[in-house]
Amino acid sequence: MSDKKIKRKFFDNFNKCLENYEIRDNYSVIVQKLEDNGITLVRPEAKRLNTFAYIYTILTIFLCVLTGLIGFSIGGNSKRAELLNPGTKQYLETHTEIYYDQPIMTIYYSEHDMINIYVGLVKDDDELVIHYFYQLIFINNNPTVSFKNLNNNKEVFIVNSFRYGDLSVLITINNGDKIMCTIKDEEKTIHQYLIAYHDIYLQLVEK
Amino acid sequence: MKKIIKDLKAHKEYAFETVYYQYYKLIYYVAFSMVQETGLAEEIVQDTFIKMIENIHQYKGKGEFKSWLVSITRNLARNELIKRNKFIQRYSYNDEIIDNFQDNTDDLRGLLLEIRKCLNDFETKIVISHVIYGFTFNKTASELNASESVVKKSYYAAIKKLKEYYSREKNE
Repeated sequence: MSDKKIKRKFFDNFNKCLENYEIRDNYSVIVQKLEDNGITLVRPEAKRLNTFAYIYTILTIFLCVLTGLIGFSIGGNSKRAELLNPGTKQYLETHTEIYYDQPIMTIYYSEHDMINIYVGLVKDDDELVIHYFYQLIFINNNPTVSFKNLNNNKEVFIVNSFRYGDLSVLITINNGDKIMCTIKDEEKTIHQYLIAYHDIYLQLVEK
Repeated sequence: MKKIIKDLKAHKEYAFETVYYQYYKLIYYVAFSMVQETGLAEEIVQDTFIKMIENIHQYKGKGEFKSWLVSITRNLARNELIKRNKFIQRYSYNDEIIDNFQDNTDDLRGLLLEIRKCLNDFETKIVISHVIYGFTFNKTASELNASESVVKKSYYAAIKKLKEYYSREKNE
């Protein structure tokens, strides 16, 4: 191993440990203190949620799920397993008992930048419950990503180095909850919605 | 990063948010390793980011942004310790916690304990300072009260030891 690789390995190991570091997130406190000190951060103009776009999104999700179901019935299990890259496969295998091996939703930010949402069953007190997982793929951009459960108002900001995560743990997702995903940088903001229809996704996982 | 810095100077929220979530855990680590108190470390994290935005126009792009941020944290932590009259009695760079990191950081403590199997205290500090904080050898030397040549020599010796350690780990 070259010196550069040693340095990299040490750096990666250290950062991996830092990622698991559970400390209080005081972001909003800092923003408030800044405002008290007379510094107001410049926010991008919020885009209004257009009713048409909202209905369109819901319809798209249904169509995706329907296409997934049809594709599944036709394709069979063995071919689909090849669709996942090894990292995602390993993550889902480690964190779930069983998972659906295609994203239930893909949120595109650009051609090469996207977020995939997966579902899988996780053991909770001897009961298998559905969980939602995200995978970040950002190649050309480095935007801010957040997920908000609009039903319980829990919100999480994702650091780009956390490529995978369990949304059900981060923002507690119950059946029928509306999840808003926001991807933003100074140029554009994208909002995408996921309705956590546990029953539909359960069928995907169990088939 | 250049764009983020430019936008930080314009106080754009997305830039501030990005930098915060990129570094707040590291900043907490730096603060806690000096002051050894959770509440105080959290306050220093907040003050670091406030100071960062207040002084961002002073950052000229020379050197890594991360190391500039870490320097702010270290100065704030030092000032806090002086204020609390602990600095002279207790603090020197050599007192920073290396393998006795008694916060909620089992992974980090585990990693540091592992590293301490092959590196001595001085070498561990140099590697953390140079590799993690992004400090130059010169800055590391001044923080450690040592000469730059000693720091460089110890750093390369540490890298050699880490290389052997990782190879052994791989073979096991």
